[in-house]
Amino acid sequence: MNGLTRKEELIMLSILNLRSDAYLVAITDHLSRITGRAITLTSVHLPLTRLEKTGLIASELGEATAVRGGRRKKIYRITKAGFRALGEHKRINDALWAEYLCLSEQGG
Amino acid sequence: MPAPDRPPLFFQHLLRLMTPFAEREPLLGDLEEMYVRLLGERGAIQARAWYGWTVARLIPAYVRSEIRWRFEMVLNYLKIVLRNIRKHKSYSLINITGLAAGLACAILIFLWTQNELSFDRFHKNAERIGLVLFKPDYADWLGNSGPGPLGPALQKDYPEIVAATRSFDAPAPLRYGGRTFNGRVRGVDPSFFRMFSFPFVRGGGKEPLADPNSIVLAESMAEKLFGTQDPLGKTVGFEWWGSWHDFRVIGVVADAPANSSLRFDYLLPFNFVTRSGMSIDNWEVSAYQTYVLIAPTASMAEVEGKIAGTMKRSLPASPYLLRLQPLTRLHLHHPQGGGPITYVTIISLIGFFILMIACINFMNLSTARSLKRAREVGLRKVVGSSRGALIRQFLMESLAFSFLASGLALVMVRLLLPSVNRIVNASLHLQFTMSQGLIIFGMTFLTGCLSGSYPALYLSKFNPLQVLKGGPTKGRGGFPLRRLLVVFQFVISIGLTVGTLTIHHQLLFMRNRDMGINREFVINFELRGDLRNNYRTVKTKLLENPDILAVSATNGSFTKRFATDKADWEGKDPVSKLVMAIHAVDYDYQKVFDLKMAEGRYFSREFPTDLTAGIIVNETAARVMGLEEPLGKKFFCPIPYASGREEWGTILGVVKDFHFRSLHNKIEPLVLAIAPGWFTDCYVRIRPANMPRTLAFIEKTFKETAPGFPFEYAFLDETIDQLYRTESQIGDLARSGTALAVFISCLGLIGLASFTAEQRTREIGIRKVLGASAAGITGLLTGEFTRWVLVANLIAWPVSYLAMRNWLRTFAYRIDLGWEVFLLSGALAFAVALLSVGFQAVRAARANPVASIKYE
Repeated sequence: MNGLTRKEELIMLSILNLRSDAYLVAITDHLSRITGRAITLTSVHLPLTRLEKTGLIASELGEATAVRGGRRKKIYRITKAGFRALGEHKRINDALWAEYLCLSEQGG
Repeated sequence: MPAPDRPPLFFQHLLRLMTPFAEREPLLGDLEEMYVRLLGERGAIQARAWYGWTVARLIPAYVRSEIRWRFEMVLNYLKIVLRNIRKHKSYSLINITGLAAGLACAILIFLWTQNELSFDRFHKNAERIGLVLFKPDYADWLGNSGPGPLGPALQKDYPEIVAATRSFDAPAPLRYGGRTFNGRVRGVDPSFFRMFSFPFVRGGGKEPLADPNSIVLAESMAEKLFGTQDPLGKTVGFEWWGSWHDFRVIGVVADAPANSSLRFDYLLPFNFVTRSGMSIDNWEVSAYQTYVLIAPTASMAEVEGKIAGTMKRSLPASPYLLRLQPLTRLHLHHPQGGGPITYVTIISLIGFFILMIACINFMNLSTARSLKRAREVGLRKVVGSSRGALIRQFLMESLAFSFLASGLALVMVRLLLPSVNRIVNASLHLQFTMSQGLIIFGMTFLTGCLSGSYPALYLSKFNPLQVLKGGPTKGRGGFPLRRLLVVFQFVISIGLTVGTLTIHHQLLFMRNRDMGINREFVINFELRGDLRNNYRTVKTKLLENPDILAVSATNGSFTKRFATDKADWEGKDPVSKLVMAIHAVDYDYQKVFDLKMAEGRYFSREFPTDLTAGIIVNETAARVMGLEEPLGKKFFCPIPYASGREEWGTILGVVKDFHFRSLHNKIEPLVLAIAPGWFTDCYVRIRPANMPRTLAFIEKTFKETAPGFPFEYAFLDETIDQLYRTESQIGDLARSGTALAVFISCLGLIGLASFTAEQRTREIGIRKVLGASAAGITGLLTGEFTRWVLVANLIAWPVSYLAMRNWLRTFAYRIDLGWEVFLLSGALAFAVALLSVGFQAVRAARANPVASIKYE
């Protein structure tokens, strides 16, 4: 399996956190808040489409609200394959961190 | 501006256009949500800017993907087109040939029309130049001959007239180094070169032709006279009314282009005409054209209004009001209205109709054949092709066909151009300039779109479920448009046939009409050089030859017209004005043309007073003058008798009416008088036997008297034929056009008929098995088509009747439109349709029923 880019990983994690309200604007807001940087809609939209095409996330149409001009939301969720990919990333990250921390303990 | 709490509408539309359907709604919602938030935080302007910018950034990616996929599809469409062409060779051949023939015809006509419309537009000042016309109070014609002082007066009196030039042109020879060449002289004022764009290739100077002894040559004339020598500064001889004058060459101008109405071989200072005694400063002598150049800020109509009364102010007795004819209208428009523009319109219409017929063919064949492609359409729809994509596909297909056809058409045009040039007497050529290329491209493109539009709309409408199940695709009936189109095709073909036949009949009528003269075995040459002065000697010499029956000089009847409004006679109502044609003649004029006298006698040497006071009029003149007893009446006509004076004469005889102009014109009142001073042309009646020897004899006599002059002669019957050149050109063009229209219509019918036969193969087989005869089946198949042709006849007849009646009105002497022409055209169309359909029908009817029932 191909690895995820950093951005894709962040977006997927954000979807996880947002649970049942993970749509484009919410994801962008969430990421901006966590990273403390301004993130644009378009820079989130493109990876989202890509992820959906590769089957790591799936979507369905949600409810409509007035601020959206009466249009429905596209709610994303993580698929099984998505969970596997995220888990793989986490395992590798953890392993790498663990090894580093272990070494510095011994060295320190 | 719409409510600011909603994003800009334009960008919403743009976004909707660029996003796939499934993405559209949520994406628009997301953007709007963001927009509303920004609106609250930073205000309307920034929010709107953000929205616009976000949408705009999507454009490049969208365009890229769009182009890529469109291109892929286009490749696929082209592949299908090629497969279809290969698979249905004869169908494709019919389709492409028909379309190519139509396009070739349209391109040829376009080239011709473009050439006609381009006349005189090459002058830089074309839009600002006008020719002065003269309208008399008492009649309805417009002339362009005016007095000499008019040009300078106009320029002096009206600030709107920037420049004016007088112009007088005539045939006259030039001589250099012992060699003489015929040419056309034009006398002009120096401003001529400022007004018209005839650029100097050599010499010129500040004020060309200001020196009364200077001459400017056209390039081709300079080459004839001087070959490779430098003509500047050389002295050439110019012959004018029997004597030679020397002129010094001061410049050479480029030849007038083929699309110039002003033609000349060399230019002289305007006052050269005074060398023959013509007056250029008398307001009463009308013989010269006047061209004016108006200021850039002035308009033709405005200037025309101002100058209208100039003649009457300078010469109170003058009956003339002035008008202006724009230079750009000189070639195609007669000042009174009408003119060759009518023919340009007619021919353009024919071209358009032929192209229409070709397009209709294409539509008919494609829609007919479409039933075979129903499955392809169904399948494409099932796998997700939208109706728009299908329409694009079929349009692409017809465009591919039309571009293939236009390639073929260009080849045809290349091959046909020489013969077309011969017919229309022009030098059209195919040049791939930007504008011409663009128009031909556009024509092809439009043809493709037009001919593909119906099939595209029709084919893309199929219901995929039905056609994939192999459900009924209706074979015949159910499609009135196709019938309508075939009927329309035949209406045009029949109409064109009627037109062609009528033109042909009228031409025959004009050529064969008894003109009141014997026009056969009469030859005509101009009296040049010493011929004019020694006319009597030449005549005596010529008559020594027994094969020469009669010789007479005149002032160029049939080709030139001399007329006066100053005739006067005993008992004339002093206020009435009458325009009469004048023929200067001699004793043998009657014998040369075989004129018959109605009353009295012709001029005779036995009566010496005939020379100084004899007048003969024609029957029309006697009638319009209102003379019950014309013989012996006193008559005045401004023509110098042999004595050289203009005097009152006596009417000796009335000659029977004869045509001395083309049959477009009614016979005018005519005066004949013996006036050697006016002789310009010599007519000789010869015996039919020994013609080559007689001609050689005449040439020898001519050369002895006028050494160095080229001997140019014409037969009178050919000269008269030339009067109908335009009509005969139109006749030739119409004939070719009609043949083409009928040919293309036939191609279409053959295609349709073979298709119908194929569609009904099974039905025919079953009918045969049940006992139908081959003849019965042939009738069944042809019946439908023949009905359409009958309907087409009923429509075409009245339309073409009205059109041809109008055309015939342009002739004073014309044929009656008989029913035969219409019946013949209809029968012709009928026969052609029957032949092309019948062939297919017989083949279908004779097929073995066993094979046809197994079919499908």
